[in-house]
Amino acid sequence: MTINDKTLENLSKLSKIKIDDNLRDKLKEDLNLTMNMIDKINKIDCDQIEELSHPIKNNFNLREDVVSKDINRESLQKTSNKTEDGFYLVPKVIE
Amino acid sequence: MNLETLTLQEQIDGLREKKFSSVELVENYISVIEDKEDLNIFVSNDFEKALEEAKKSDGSKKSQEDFPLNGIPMVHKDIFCTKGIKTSCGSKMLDNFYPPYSATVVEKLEQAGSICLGKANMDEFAMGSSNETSFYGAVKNPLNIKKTPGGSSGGSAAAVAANFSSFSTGTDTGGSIRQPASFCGIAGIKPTYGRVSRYGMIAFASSLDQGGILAKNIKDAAIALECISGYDSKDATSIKAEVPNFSEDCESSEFEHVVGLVTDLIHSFGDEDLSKNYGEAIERLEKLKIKTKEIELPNLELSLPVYYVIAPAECSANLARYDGIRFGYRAENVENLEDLYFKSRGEGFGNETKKRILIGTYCLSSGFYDAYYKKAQKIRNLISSDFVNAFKDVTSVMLPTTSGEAFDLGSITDPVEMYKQDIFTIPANLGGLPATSVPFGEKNNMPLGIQFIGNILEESSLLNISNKFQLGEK
Repeated sequence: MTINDKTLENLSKLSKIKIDDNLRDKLKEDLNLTMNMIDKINKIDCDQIEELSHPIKNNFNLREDVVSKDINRESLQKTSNKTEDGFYLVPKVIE
Repeated sequence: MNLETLTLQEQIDGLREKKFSSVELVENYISVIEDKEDLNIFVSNDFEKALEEAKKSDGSKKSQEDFPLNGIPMVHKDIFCTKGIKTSCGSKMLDNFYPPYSATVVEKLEQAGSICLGKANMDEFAMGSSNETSFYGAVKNPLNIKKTPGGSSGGSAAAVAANFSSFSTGTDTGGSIRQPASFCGIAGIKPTYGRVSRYGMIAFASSLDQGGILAKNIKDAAIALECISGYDSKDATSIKAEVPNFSEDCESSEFEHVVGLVTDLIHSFGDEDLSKNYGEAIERLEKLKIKTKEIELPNLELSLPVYYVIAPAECSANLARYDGIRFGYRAENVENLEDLYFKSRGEGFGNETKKRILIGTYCLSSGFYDAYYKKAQKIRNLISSDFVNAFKDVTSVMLPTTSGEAFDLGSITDPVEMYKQDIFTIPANLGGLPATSVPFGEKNNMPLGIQFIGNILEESSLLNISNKFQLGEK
């Protein structure tokens, strides 16, 4: 089994997702089924092949590095339910 | 006259000839939508605003040249940000999200004069093939309410099939426009990666995601696609290329076609009905006197495992933005900042989304990156190269859209069986290629679809062959 309890715990920590205890067994089963399907790629010899990370080659268009004022802080922060004086509020991080 | 059953082209013509008004169109649709609420197609709507806009449209003297969709009602997949209007992406995580800006696709359709009737339900963060992963519950297929409409653009496909609009927007990361189009008996197009701006389109897998159109037929899809296409400086992967006149090209007699076929590959699946429908599609091409040529796509079956490394890997990075702080769901009763992250993400994401983030995290984690992510990208190159080679001899490739008809809601519980839904549609995403689904054939009284895949930026030729195929013999 590729993904056991320990791996799942590590993945939960890395992805910062709390996993409920009642979900663990089903999640492990589904992840292992998926990884078994994915493992087919290990049988393919493609050492000499280049990686393709983007489907359209040489097409990255960067904008001029100038400030635009399309969206202001006030309207952006309306999407958060905890802000004060232009700052986002989070639980206390410094004692 | 049943205005809601008209095609987009018929509506454009009817409005221009003043056979009916935009208000009448909107009122007709509202009445149909209210009658069919149990299909669970809309996540949100604003009928009052739609009627107001229709009144304005009826009173304006806008030219059709500048405003090709003036007064035409439509539906957006709820993945496209709409300024000040809830944009949930089918997730509890974004159930309270009212974006401060609109997606480029939304702005372009507004500029073309269209009127949004509502936002369509979808699989959570576009991760699903049946619409069952939505926080708002599954959409029902209008052709048979026990069946799935497909996914992830299931709401958009069902909206067109149920006569909620003549066309809708969708997105396609591994088949999410084409598979639901096939399941609902309508047409759909995913254009070339970069043809349609991804700005304001909530990200799933950035190197695969592409916006597109679902419509009653290919001609209508071409009209709407033309309106949403074009370079956008807000999307670094947007392609700087002229947008052809898709609607004219779609019906042109100028295009010469050689359609690539993979008959042996289709037979190798050992599914009689699949082979039969593919064979009948070939017969239609022959009757239309369209040239065909057998080609090989030797790595097609590797598309599935490759996709399920790349898409989750990209999704695990993209969905890292949901931290419970700046927008989206925020958990209560947390002990500290770390706890806020864990609980917000644990409670805000649904199970399928969690699964994909975990798979992606695994494939990108230390010690596994080379074995999975790097390897998948190499095989992606092999699959893409198969198409590059094929397009030396043919102008498009014909495949089934799906291996079967729409299945019963709740009938697939094995995740890998669900993922196999996309075996024929994923290759186009891996190669960034444009692809359509055209209704063709049926099984168990449900529609099937045939898919055409075109070369990069050759949507005109692709729409032309798809339209010819859909119209059949003259």
